[in-house]
Amino acid sequence: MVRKFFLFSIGLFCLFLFSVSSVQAQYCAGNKECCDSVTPYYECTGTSPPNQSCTPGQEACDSGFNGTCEFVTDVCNGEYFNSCSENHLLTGRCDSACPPPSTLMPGTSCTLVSPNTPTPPPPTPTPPPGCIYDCGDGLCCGTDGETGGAGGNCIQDCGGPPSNPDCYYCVNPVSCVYGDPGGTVCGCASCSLGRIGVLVFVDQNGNSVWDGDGTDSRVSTGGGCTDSGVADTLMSGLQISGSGASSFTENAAGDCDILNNDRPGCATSTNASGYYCNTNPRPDFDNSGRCCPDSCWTCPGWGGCTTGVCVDHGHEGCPSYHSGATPCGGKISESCYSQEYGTCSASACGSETSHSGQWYGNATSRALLYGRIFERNVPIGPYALQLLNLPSEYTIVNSPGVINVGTGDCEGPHYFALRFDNVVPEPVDPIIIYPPDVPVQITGVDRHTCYDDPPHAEATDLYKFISTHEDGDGSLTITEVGLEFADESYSNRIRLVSTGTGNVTVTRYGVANAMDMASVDVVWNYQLDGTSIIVVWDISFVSSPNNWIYDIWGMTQDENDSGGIWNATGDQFKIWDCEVNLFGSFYDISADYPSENCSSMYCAPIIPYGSALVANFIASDLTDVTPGSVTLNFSGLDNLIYRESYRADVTGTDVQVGYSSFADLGGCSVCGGGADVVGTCCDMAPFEVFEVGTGKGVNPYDNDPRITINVGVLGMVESWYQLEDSSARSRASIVDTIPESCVANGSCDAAITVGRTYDNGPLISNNSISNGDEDGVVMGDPNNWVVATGGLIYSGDRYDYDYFDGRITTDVVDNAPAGTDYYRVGAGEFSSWNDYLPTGFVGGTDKVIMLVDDDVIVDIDIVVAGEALLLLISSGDITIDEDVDAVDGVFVADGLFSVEDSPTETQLSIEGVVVGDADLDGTGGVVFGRDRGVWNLTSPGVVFGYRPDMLFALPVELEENSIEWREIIPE
Amino acid sequence: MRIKRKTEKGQVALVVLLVSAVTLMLGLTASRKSTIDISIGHDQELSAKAFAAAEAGLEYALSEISADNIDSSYYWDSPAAGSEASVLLSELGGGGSYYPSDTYQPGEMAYFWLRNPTDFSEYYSPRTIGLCWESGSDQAFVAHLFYNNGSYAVVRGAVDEDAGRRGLNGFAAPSGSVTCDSGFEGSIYDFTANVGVNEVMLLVIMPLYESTRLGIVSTGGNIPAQGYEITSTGTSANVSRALLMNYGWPIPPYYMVDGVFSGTSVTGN
Repeated sequence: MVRKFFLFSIGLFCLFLFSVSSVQAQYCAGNKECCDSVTPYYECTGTSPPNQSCTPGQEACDSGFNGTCEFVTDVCNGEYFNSCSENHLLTGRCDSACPPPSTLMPGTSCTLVSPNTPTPPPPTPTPPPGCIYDCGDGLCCGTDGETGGAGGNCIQDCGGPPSNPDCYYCVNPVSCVYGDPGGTVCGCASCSLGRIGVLVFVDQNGNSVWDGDGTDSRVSTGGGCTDSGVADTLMSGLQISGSGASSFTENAAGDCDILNNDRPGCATSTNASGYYCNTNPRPDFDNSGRCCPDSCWTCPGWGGCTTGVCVDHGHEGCPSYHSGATPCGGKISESCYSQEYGTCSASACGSETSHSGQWYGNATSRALLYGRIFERNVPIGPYALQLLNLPSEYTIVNSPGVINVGTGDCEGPHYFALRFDNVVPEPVDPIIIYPPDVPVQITGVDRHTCYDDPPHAEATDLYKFISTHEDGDGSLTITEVGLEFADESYSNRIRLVSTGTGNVTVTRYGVANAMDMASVDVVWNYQLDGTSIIVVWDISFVSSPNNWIYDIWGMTQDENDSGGIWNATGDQFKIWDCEVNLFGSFYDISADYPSENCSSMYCAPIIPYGSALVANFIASDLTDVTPGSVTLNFSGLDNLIYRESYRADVTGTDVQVGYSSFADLGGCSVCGGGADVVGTCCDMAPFEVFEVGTGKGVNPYDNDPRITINVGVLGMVESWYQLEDSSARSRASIVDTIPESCVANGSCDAAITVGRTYDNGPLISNNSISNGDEDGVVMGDPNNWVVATGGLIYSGDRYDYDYFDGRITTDVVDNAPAGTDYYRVGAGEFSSWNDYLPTGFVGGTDKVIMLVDDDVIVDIDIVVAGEALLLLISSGDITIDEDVDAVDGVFVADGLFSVEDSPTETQLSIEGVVVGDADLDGTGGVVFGRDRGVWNLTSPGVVFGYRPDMLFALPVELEENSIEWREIIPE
Repeated sequence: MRIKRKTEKGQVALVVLLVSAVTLMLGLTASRKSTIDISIGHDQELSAKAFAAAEAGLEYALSEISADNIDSSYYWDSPAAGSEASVLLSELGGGGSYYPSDTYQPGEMAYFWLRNPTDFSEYYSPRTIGLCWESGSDQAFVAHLFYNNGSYAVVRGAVDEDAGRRGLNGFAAPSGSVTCDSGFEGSIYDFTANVGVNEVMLLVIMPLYESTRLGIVSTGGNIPAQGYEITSTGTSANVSRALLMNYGWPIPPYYMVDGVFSGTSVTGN
């Protein structure tokens, strides 16, 4: 009876409500809140009939009302109000009186439904018409993921200013596919940024894709990780320009973590069928087997020469970037390569407007290394590609001239390829054939022997020989010269015969043996009717002359000789040594090499300001001066150190640039001892002088043959650093030792902190601030803000290990949102970064937060994409390992943050935030000390770049609310 | 003959009466004092309960905020304790100016959100802003303005009122006119050249050399809210006490603004 009465009452009540409301729909709409008491409403869960109300507490629903009696919703006992926000929507049935229409929110309505009428589900929100991308819940996103706005009317405008003030975030990166040199790249960067990746290579096998480094190809050629087995190598300079373009982040090709990240199909160390990039040996980009000592000078500080071979031919010690061609041509100078690129003038790298690491308007440029990939998040916009200072034969293929970043959809890294044609790549295993120590005077049909030392197992098919044929007394005219291999006549002989001024016929004799020449490309320097001939022989053999000892014959023919018979040339003819120049890097055979001034192929050695040495050597007869010795007179700055393996330039008084290779200046350690000291340092070891190229070398028949030797000496300086876009604050001192010489010659910026992408900030210290030799010049550029007065560092707050230890609670760790990984690592528990960051890459909006109660050594390169975060907090010291070239992240050490010297003297790039002595206990600090040896003269050991995006990537649970409170008079 | 003096008897009675009166008065006084003491003790207890309730109301409101249950009011009660709290939530700051009540030490950073981090549609639209500090001594400041023009970026400024110091630290002289609250003076920070409309995010001001209170003054649109203002009124019986809390938006550790920070030195070797 009670239940029936209750149901009857409910029915009457609903009928009443129905009578006073206009029924337009079967659910309530509008923001409303029941501000009076509510009555819980219960129903039987049975369905026959459905929606029967019941009284809680009864044991079971009556027959016919099967099921249990369960709570359904609250029924408002009073009026609804429309003043509540969405958080207070009373969902469920609207079984009570609807609020008066006048109290409803404009545009909303409220209708009454019968409690026995099932409540239909709310309509599925739909985005407004014209929406580009339905994000769900009625929101409209751009295809780039932009969302927001009350109406969801955000249009696609990723990266630029939001399409309307309500649109701001880019969320939910959309998977996308892009082609790249290696095939397919999947993945997305943050929608607010695009990214450009640059892979520069020679398409040696002509398949238009990057094939990695020889048999260790790691980059896929179509989605997988198939090894093509054919190497593509080359590097060059490239410029990417566009609004706000920033400097590149470099990722070595051997570290294909990013590629792995983008290619889930790439194998891992545990996937035997695949390929594990990180375990690969680095590509042998260096100078393995190159001729000593010419190769050694490219690797100052580590080279050395033993029995004609560099002690360390680069597998371990020589920086990879010491090899390969530069825009300067066939040989490189480290100064040109790492610092500048451009057209090399006779004495220096030609670039005056493009320096790596410096900022020139909207363009960024940097010499690129072959086989290396440069990536950088860049603002949305078009980017023009421009090759810098390369011959016109080098062209961009498989790539648009302009890359639009972030205009299509949520775009991930853009990869594009530059393929260089018309270049001859460096032999993988170059043969070095040494000429004899002295020029050989031919008597008769003499034989001039070159030999392969040490023998090389393999060689590629291009050799370059340079020979000089000269009639010493000038009485005769040379009309024919030849070059012959092997010791039997007419076997693999090249014969050049003059047919008149400027013309020559080439006769090639070959036999079918292993030395058969496939092609011959001979370039004359002089016409074949003079008294001196220099010939460059580019010869391609059918097969590699493995471990052959072969001879080069030089023959001349006197035009007065009758019958064109090869005659003994007698004492009047000399054939100077041939130089077999198989190493080097790349020779552009499209260029008119013999007419090219050789000096233009070289870059100037490092000659710090005021420290060049000049020695004059006069020889009455060249044959008497080789070998010889030279005493060096010097003048320069104090404490200059002759660097071993340093290459000297040789010039002659009556000729242009010669070419010489010196033995090391061993024993020349520190010279000097006072300002403007001029004195004798030490004798140089015997050296050779070769004649190379047109008009080069020393004419022994000159009345006063003279060789001038310019030797660079290096003033050693300490390691130093440079901050970019950053402030620096210290409770003690800020000290940097920027070398004065570097600033003086324009290679370095004297400021400790410089603006690159943004403004640089101030330098603030409790004690003193010094930039070494450049004290008092400029500390910050362009903002030269320096505050070095005590008591300026507020120490009220300590955001140290203990602070984060209190913040990173178990609850925080357990409830971390997707994409955020917290690690709490106890003392002695940290073993390998592979446990936490196996790819060395944090992308998208991912966050990795590591709280380590111990010292930490960072021994992997780490890339943190824009809007992602790596936060490493250590209760002890954080050390960047010697093998690390680049790390991104926020590094907070209660103790010391420091970096180790690199065995390859490689510069370290740090982007993010660095903190030492975070607990302010006076122990620890920050030491950006990477000693790069001679490279300290021209560039910092550590370049730190501030990343403002990481401030906003910090999880809110790790931040602190400012709270202040007080008692007030109650109202 | 000794004459008895009636007056002597009366004196005794008077003394007795006086003693009795004094005794009564003392007794009554003691009784009244006990009553008052009991009453005062009761009020103190209610006051303490009301204060504790106000504190609990604040705690409750903070927990609701942390759980993202944002409402304009909350109610907390403790039937067992006989107390309750009514909590009102409103925006902190915002409008035409904002002056935190903190006094900032040299090197301490003050964070001013030019875009509401909880509602990015609310931002400060002009590209100049007034910066105010306490009058009286020469002040110097460094400003870090973070913005987003597709990627996060920062622009900085530095001013110093002291001309002598400017020769050493390279700061600029304050410029522009701004109307600050009484006891404050200020200058205009103009970032028009660097920051586009609708790109502002966060302004961080760090005083140097001298401690001071700080404030920002709009040169046009509204300054977005800087957090929540929470008023909790605790009541026990008829005793009420109220607490006011300014609860700012979360801010990062200061070194996230610096880039490089060291408790000791920064060196290159």
